[in-house]
Amino acid sequence: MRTLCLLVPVALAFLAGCEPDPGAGKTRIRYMAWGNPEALDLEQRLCDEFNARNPDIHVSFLKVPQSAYLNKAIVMFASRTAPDVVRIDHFNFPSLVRKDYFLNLSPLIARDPEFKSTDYFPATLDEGRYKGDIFGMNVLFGAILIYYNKTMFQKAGLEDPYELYRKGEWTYERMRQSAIRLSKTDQNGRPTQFGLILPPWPLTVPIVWAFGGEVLSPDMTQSRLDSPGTAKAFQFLTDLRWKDKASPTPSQAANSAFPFESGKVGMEFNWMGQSVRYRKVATSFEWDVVPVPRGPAGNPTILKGNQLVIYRETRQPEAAWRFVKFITGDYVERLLYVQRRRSFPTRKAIAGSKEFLETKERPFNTKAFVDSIANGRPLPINHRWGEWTNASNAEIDALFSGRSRNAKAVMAEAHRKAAKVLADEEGF
Amino acid sequence: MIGRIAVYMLLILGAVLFSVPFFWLVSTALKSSQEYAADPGALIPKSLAWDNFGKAWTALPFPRFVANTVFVTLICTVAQVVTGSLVAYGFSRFEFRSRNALFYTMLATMMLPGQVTMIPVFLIWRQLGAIDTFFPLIIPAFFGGGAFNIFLLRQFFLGIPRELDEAAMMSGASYLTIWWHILLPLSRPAIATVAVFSFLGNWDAFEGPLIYLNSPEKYTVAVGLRMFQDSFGTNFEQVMAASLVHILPAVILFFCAQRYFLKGINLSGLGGR
Amino acid sequence: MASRLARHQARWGFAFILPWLLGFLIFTAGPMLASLYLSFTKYDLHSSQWVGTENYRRLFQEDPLFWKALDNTVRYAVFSVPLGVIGSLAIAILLNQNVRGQRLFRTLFYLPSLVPAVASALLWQWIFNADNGILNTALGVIGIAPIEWLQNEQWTLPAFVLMSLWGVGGGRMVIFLAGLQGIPDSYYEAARIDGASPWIQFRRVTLPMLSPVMFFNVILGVIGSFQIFTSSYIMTGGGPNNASLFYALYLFRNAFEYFKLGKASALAWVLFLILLVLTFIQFRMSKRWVYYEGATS
Repeated sequence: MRTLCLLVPVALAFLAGCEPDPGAGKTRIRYMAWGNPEALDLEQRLCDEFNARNPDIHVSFLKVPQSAYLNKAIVMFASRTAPDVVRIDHFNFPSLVRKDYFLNLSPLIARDPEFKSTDYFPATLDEGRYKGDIFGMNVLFGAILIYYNKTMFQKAGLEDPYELYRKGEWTYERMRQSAIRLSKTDQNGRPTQFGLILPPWPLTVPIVWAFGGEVLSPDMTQSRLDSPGTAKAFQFLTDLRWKDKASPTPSQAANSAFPFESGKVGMEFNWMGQSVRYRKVATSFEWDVVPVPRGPAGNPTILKGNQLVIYRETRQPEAAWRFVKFITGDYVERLLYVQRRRSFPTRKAIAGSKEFLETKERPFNTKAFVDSIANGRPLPINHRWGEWTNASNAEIDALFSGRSRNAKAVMAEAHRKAAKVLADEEGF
Repeated sequence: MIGRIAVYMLLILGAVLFSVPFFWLVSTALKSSQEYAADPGALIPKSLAWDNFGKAWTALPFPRFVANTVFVTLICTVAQVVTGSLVAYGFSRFEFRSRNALFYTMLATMMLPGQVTMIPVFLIWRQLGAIDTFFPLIIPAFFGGGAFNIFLLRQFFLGIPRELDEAAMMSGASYLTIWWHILLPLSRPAIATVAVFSFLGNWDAFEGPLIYLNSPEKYTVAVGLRMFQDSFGTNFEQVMAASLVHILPAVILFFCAQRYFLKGINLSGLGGR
Repeated sequence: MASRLARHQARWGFAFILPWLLGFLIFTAGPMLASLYLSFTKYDLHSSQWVGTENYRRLFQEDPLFWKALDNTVRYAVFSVPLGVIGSLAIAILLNQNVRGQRLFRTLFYLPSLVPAVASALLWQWIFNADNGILNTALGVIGIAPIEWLQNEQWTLPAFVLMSLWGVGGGRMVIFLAGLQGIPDSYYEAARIDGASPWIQFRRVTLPMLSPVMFFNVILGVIGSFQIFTSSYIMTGGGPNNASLFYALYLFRNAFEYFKLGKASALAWVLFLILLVLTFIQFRMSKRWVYYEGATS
């Protein structure tokens, strides 16, 4: 009984909330984004900065764990309790935008004298387009490039990949040779070092393009997984693992036995944003970046960002738009991409600025960043991405798990499955 | 004698089998990032990175999360045990026309996967204005506390002979008196079981807090733990450290709850049957 | 007189279950019916359209993944439920013996069930590692070649069954333990006086007295094993090649990744019906082997 009496006031205290209300009397908007604790701290700082600069608005930040982010976002949108400004991964944007969850930003843009579309890289704005209008601004934009272990290359007497790139000799064949040379086993035959970690889907797409293959048709409605270049690309990767043994098998790579930061891997395809983490954990060796190698059809890489959207039924569209402009504006981009070097700015001026190009922290080859963006194509994400990629990847998995070494046959089957999904009448 | 040796051997073998992976968890929690990257499988860390716990604890406002979780869990556990045993009493000791139909309906609620009712249930709470409060997490505990607990207690109650009930009724005891003074004491292990499960279920609950709580200061430990994961690499060591801290109260609770499982406390009133 | 008493206790009985009934009517019945309705529509969180039994027809006739998911789940249940129930019973009996350090042993056996899902997934990926995982190392000692547990289609389901067994010292065991505690010593004494061996005591005293909780564990084991989700979601994503695509995972994907809520609801109700039938059969069969000391009818 006594404990119950104790609980009641505690309960009331909890339910009422113990802190004074900082947003009293102001226009309130809510903002939601994901990240690890440091990233979330950063977002909170940005919100605080915005609140300081805009005393008539108060932004409160909803922190959500990334692995459950989509789940929560969907429940919020479906129940019409969504926050005013939400960050949406581009993997999900095409499917969510057509549910009328997001506010059309084009009218806001047209009305706004401050906003200039030409400030931004066209690719970043195009990502957020739906039926011609802009429904999201771009954040955490970047491309795929190769992280390489400089120290390992030097020790093996191999030429630095970035030097090769500058000379125009950084091809997939060169990469393969380097990977083979860098892969070592000990006297018991156990691998101690690998040249390359095979990229997981969708980081394999640059390789597909480089070999002249395609993934989807230009209008993103049909599968092109059966194109000859695609099969060639996957055969290249399959052989790299099983014939050249330059890449760990799934069981060898399991449990993070060979992460890049362990220093036991020569090269890795990864997003620009990873550099933040590698700066912290890859400290026992020198590393840097180089754009993806050149294949018979060039060296395109994939571009992908995330959309910052405004909830369509927001009660504060103007305030929300001011916040969105702030996050994609000069101050924040300078802080995130120049100071913190998180990935790549969406504003051209920042990307071209001296402060961005000259850096005291790894990776030093910032031109690799710039060139990758220039050579990038958007990752073909359509609104059925999850479904058709699950179907095709279940097949493609055979190549990487060793069940089959014949990329042509596997890709034909993967194409069949993806095509079936894409052709199915929607909604069923 | 041989029997006892065999028992001890089996116990030790089993205990080792079951707890070794758990100790890997502990050892991972004590490794530094570099050490984990270098040798993730090692059972004994070379150096004890106690600051993993510190980092895990301070990276997010865990004390606040723990307070929230304790609050929700305590209320729910008490409510679930009380209302659950009342409902189980009804299903096991009484006959009324709709009893079986309602009992099967209750069981049936466990058979529909929760994902498809998640949004409709959320909409109900939204109508009640309870989003971003603890109410959606606490209130259901007062309505019987879930089919699992009710079914379990019903099975236990059905195993208790009715002689005591009948004797008490003849002395004029009310149904509630029988429930409180006879059934509950006789089912101490079952009640302890339900209490422990209830506690653990609420302590670990993730989906509910995730979708119903918006303000970070209301988050529970389970949600906070998940926040460690991100797309730019998981700090396994810190995840393990945070997991350990999360598990610790549960381990202590379980260890202490054992005293309700001592043989011989029960059915002392029925000697000589 | 008798019927007044009967009506009196009937009213009280109903009153006691009222908390559950109210909760059910307010929070559960509506959503359940809503999902039933949805299963007859095409709904993507934006627009809905009535399609009658088309979702069900497509599931049964045009969806190989449905059958694969069902097959995986049934096979998982067929192995993990009996092994789990028998295993946890055996461990409960073991842990019920009066030994020193009983509390410690019980806690050690229970530890695995306390580990949160994410940590558990990491743990098991380490155990199942084909090259240096502890399982293959142990098997190697007996001379068995390393198995690619989570990378090989054939071994994935066995891996998940094995994982379920690690929890065998968990909830089910505790429930059996509580059940064992509830058996009065006097029954065993009476049996011993009659000259019954330990095995006869087990068969004639322990098992019947345990049958109510055994029944509980079997029913819940079946219901639970058909809804296995988290471990495959975190560890294998349903692979390799859909070998670990369990029913609940397939349902989740259709609901939250493909936004096919009509189909997801249909999947849910198919599972519901399967479980309903299975549970009904078990209840029927229970009349033959489950013994309730305190039952009236």
